[in-house]
Amino acid sequence: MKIIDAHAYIGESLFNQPQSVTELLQRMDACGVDTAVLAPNRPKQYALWPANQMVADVTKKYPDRFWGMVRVDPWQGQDALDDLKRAREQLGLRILLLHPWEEQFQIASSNVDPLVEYAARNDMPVMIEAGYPLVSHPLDIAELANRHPQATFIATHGLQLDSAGFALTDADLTMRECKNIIMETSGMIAPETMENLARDLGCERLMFGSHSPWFDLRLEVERVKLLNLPSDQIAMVLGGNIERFIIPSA
Amino acid sequence: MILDSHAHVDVVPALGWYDTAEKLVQRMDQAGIAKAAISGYMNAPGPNPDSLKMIAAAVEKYPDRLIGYARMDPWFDDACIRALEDAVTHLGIRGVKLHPAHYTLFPFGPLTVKLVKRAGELGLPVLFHCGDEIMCLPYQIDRLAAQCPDTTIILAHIGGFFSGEAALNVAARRPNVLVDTSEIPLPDMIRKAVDRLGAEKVLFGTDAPCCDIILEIMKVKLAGLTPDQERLVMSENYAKLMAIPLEKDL
Repeated sequence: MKIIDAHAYIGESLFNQPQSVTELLQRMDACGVDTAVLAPNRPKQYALWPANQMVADVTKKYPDRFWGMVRVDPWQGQDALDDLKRAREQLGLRILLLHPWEEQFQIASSNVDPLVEYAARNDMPVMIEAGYPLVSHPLDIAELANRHPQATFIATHGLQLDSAGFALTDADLTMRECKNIIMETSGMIAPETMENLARDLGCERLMFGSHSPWFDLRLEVERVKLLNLPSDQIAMVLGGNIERFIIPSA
Repeated sequence: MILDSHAHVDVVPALGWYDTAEKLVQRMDQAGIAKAAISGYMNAPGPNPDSLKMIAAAVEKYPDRLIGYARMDPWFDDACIRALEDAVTHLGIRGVKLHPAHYTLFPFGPLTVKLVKRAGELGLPVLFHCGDEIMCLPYQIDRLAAQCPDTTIILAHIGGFFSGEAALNVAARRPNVLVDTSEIPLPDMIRKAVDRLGAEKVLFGTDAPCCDIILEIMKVKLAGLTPDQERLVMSENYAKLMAIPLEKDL
């Protein structure tokens, strides 16, 4: 069974969550993760382009272990769109990462639209850092997903970060309303919600990711392995579902 | 012996939550939990007039496994306090659970202070949902804790996804404030809590059956505690708080 982490950060971090290539490889090897999709941290210098270049360099150096995402800031307008195009065409990065919490925008705001339209036209899934207060609540993500039915979204953290559990209902509703959203599993507190979705909507709507180093890779792998689902479905969640996005364009 | 200071039993179709005592005890058996403190999902007084009797019935069915807490609504003032006194006398209730976002009341206001002081007089700890929601934030509960120095107050989830450092600041400055490890998927935060507060102020909790008990245990194991610290967190602290004999005492 191939294990692919769809969501691991790398590089120095403005927000004190750094992770080097060596550290990530050690963590992956310790829990049997074959491949990780790298998300660039926001560097201390704020600029995202050098971080995107660094991710691309690492994926070229370790093609069997890493794939990469491109991260842009919608507040940069045309510059963000230009960077997205450059990253796809010149760096080979095929997943768009939007981080509404660290880039300080609401995920359903209009400045996101050109980026999502470009991603959809070019078969790039859009990963959304989900569940952050006021900027990426599940129904905000639903609003964006309904506006762009041709795009594919990967929403992290089971779409919510709410220790009260109240947002689980909104996450479940969003997944049932929006067929173009895949739920990523990092930090997702409620296994039954994931199991019910896999049963009702199909296991291809669930995807393993760790959000390492914020979350512990060992715990996040186990979170998926412990789901009460058939082993072939667990395998899809742990690796197969992200692989089908990556392999055709790799 | 593992003691879980934070679990739930209740069936609330309107919230989509179906957590019976049988389901919880089955999961406790699978994970090796000796006893768990349980509260419902609805407040008393409140829309379910039998919510406290439901908890008492669960404890009566599993007297060696479950410890009953009353989840309460301080808005009801004297009626709430009378309900608590009655529950202690007639239903064997041994703790209070408060979720201020559920009844929308500032934790530091006079109604909550009155209830929490009375809980302390009755020898009951008060477990607060803490973090991620307005009305449940650590510095709000801090103002309550200052007014109720004789009541043991537990900040659940070490402040949730967004207020961990604040929860530790409050627990560090208030002798009557503890934290529990439930739900939040951050072994590193458990490590920080033990380093900052001492292991004696950290209680193991799961928030089961919503959360996977096996993951909740794994999380503490990954925190890198010494065997002595781990024993305090996993059982000894809660045994002392609730006067539960441990195996070594029997």
